[in-house]
Amino acid sequence: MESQEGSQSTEPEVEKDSKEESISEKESISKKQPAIEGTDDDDEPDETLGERLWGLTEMFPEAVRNLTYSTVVNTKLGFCKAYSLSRSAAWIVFSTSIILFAPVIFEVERANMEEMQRTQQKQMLLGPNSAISGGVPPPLLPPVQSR
Amino acid sequence: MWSPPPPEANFSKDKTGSDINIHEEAKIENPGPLEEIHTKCKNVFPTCFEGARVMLTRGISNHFQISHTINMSSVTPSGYRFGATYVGTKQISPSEAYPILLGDIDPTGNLNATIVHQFQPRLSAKFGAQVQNSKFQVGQLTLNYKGNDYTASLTMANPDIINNSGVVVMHYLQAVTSRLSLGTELAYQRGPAVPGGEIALLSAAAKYSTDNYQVSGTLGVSGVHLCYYQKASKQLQIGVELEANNRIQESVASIGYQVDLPKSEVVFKGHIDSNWSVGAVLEKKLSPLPFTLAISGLMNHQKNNFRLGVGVLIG
Repeated sequence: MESQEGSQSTEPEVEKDSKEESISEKESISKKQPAIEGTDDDDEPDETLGERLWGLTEMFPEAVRNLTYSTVVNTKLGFCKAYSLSRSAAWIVFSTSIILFAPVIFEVERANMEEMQRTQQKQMLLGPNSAISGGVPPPLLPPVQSR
Repeated sequence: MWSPPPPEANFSKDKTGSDINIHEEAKIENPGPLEEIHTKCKNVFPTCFEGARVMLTRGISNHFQISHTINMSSVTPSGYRFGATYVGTKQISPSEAYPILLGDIDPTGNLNATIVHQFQPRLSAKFGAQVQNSKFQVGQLTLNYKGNDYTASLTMANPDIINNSGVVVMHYLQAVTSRLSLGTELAYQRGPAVPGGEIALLSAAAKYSTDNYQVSGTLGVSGVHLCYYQKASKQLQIGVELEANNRIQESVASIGYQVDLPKSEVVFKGHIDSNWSVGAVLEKKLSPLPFTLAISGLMNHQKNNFRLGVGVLIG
């Protein structure tokens, strides 16, 4: 709007400053307006949709806006911090347990497997009863017989 | 059936044996030297190494043994060391014989040597020497006297009469009850490097031990050192250590544990401490062969570095 008026005021016709002319000019402007409306929306400066939506926030009081801003920023920061913290915590926990516990677990499992294989082999060689008698010998009574 | 009858004759003998043991428990015994009050806890912690290590040990005779060690690493300089051990003929107990001579040397001539000898049943002496860059770096003599319920020892290190310098350390550890023993340490150092020319440090130590756990502590001007050792089960032993140094304003707490798996002949030691460092050593005997394989991993989360070590012990 302003830019249009400015551009018109610099025209040589306006400089003659007679009332009639100014009225006629006003008329001419009012006449021109529909044409302008068709090309340029509402005499407003160029705005993106985002800027317009952002302008809508001004309907809230300043305190609310500040509070919302700080909440959003802090939440974002908090999420970032929590993510990086959990990332490094997970790394520390897993790498530590790989060093401290994995070898023991592997070794125990391996020993158990070996034991199982051995009993299985024994079973196959000596029959199903041998696995039990191999571990704990059954308490047999000594062959004491009355003579 | 082919299985033999259970031996019943042995039961009566076992019962009389356990009766005798109960009577002996209340007796006050020698507490051992003061230097070794923390060793039970420290043995649980792993000694991590870096790079590859091959060690070959060979007994030449009943009394003589030699060892070759090759060390390859990217952090410490790689190299070769030759070691020799001689065990004398003075038999004290089935596991102990004196004098013991230990030494190891590397090709540039850096030498560590130790002589341990028990002169009398109660008095023993230990002499250690270290030569580095063809200079006599450390020489120290320790005399140890073992009483019925106390141990006293005197250590002299680097005595130099001409320059008037040297270190003298006196230890005394007394068993108060069968479980508790108290001791003191007095260290005296004299030399031009010490501020004021001479310095003496006094510290107190205590040890409380039972069958399953042991608490030991040292309290001195320079700092506090506390150790806790617990035998959790037949396979698991746990140690906790807290070391606070007053002079450099630093304290470190660490937890270590040792897992013995006799079935698969594995000893595993791990530790984690408050400097964010995590380390573990796995030692496995490769049973039919005379090899022991050791794998070590050490990680520091703060400095973000990791060191892996693989070692083979032959013989």
